[in-house]
Amino acid sequence: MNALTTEKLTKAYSTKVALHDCTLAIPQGSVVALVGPNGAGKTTLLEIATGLVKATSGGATVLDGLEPGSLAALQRVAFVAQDAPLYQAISVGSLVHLAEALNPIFDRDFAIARLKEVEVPWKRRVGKLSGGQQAQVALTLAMARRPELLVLDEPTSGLDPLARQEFLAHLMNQVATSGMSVIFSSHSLAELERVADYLVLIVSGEIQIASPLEEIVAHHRVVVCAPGDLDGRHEIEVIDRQLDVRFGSHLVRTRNMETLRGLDSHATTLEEIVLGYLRRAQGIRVLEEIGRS
Amino acid sequence: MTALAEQESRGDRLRTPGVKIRKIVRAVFIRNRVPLAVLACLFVASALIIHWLSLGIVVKTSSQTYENPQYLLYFRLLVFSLPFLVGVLGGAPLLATEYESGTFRFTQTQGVGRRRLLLVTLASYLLLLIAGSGFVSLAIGQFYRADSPVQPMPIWAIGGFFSQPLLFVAMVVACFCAGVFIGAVVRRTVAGITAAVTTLSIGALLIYVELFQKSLVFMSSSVTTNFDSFQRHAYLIADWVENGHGQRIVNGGLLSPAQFQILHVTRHYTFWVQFVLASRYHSVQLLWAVIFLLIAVVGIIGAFIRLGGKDRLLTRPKATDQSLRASPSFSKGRKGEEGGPKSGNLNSKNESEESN
Repeated sequence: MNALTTEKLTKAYSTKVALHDCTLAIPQGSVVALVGPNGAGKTTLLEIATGLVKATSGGATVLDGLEPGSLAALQRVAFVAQDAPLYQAISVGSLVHLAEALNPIFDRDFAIARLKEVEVPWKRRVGKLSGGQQAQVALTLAMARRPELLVLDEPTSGLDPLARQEFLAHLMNQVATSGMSVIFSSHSLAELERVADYLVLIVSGEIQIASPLEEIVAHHRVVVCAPGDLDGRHEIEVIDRQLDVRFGSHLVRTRNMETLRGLDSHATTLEEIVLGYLRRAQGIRVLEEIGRS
Repeated sequence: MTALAEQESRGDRLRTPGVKIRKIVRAVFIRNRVPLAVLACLFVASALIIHWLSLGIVVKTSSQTYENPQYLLYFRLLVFSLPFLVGVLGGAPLLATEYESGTFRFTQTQGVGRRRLLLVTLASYLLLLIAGSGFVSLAIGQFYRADSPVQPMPIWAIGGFFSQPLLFVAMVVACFCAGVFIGAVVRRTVAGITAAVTTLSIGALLIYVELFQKSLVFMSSSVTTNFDSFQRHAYLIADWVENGHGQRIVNGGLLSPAQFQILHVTRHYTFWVQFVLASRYHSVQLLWAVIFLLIAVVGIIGAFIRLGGKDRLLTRPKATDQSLRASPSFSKGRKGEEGGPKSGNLNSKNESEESN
């Protein structure tokens, strides 16, 4: 059972390719962190998953075979867009009534209780709320729909550190009790390490990693050795090099730890792994630009 | 079974009962109450102003002259700007503001289906527009009653060619739908309004030209005769005065009562009228109404195409609520209970109770 499946998904706008040949299979019940630099294609991927954007080629399905944007998918997938766009001119209470009227399933009691919990005034206009409060309202409305898949596009970007922590704690609590899948994009690596169990790293529209977090950490090592020491070893992919005069620190990916025997290697953090991939992508981009010029 | 068919079949199986129309209407009114109220006020205010003008215009018994002729100008301005205002201020921003503010990401990902939501939204607006413009066109008829010595028509049939109920309502609907389409294409409020102003101005100009060249519209169906032979149940297209040498002097409507009396009574000059019989007049009106409604339909279809979406408009969901409850993730317990929600105001629960 997959929460999101994509097959050679490509999305091209008039001037750039936002996603290129993305193939993914995210298992249901996962909390997935979608990570990547600005303009990597995260929002495009999420909008394709929610049916807001149509793919140029390839396919995507949600919840094991539903077409994104179809009525069946809309009834099961909730989306909180970046900056939580809500109607600014109506009150929070009206917005709750609006969301209730637009969904076949809506837990009004939950919405009321949660808005009370996060101290959002019921009668205040949405436009008068702070950015953090608006994010809380948007998340509450999405969760009150009791979705099977919750898609969040940088949900904590407008929140202060305390609100962010509470937000994530609440999200995890909901995931634990309902069993829903969550896909969220984020720039905060510490945050994703705390809540996610699956990571999708996307750079320049291409998927770099898409695996469970534990697996990613287990399959990556930092190897300190001379540049030539890794030559000739099979099943090793060097992701990133930080070279010194004689020795270099290499971030490598391998499924077979035996290949690293005899080398000075140690485990690394998720943050270092992600940064290694980002540096590699940046290096490739620089080389491409040099090649073009 | 193909992969696509399998996907559709699964979609049908898992779909919950669709959101009821009255709930969507409620949502539309929550979301659009301000523009809907503004439009309603616009119609009521226009009708009241037209009624007030009709009280003040007072036609003198000598015909073709008014106590307050400037009222006729105000009236025409109001009547022809109303559809324009509806298109520019009601239609164009309807979808453009959604796209500009990003709220379309909220509405289009709700469990109702974006096409269905747009359909109900447009239907709600159109109902209001038809009722409002129909009401205004009756006020217009009331205004023309003051000018009816040669046209003893009922209130719904009297008045200018484009201001009678059939055409006026169709024109308002067409302007609104054209505005919606333009807004959906442009996706920016100010730019959408500007584009709508430009487009509708061009349309208004064409209509204005047409209005003052009625002989083109009623070519081969109008009758030109002297004033005395003007028939009842006919519509006046044009009138003018000719001297004894067949030279046109001035349009009849611009003559002062004294001039009219001299010219008409002394018979030194002939007062000509061009008219068309009511049946033919209404046929042409009907044709124009069809043209306006076609514009409206094209606008609506264009807006739907621009909106995209994959929900079906006209088919009823096949699955029952139980299919949702039977789905694995739902039955894990939404409230920490087995088998789905046991408490709270879940809509599905309410709806199943309603259906029982």
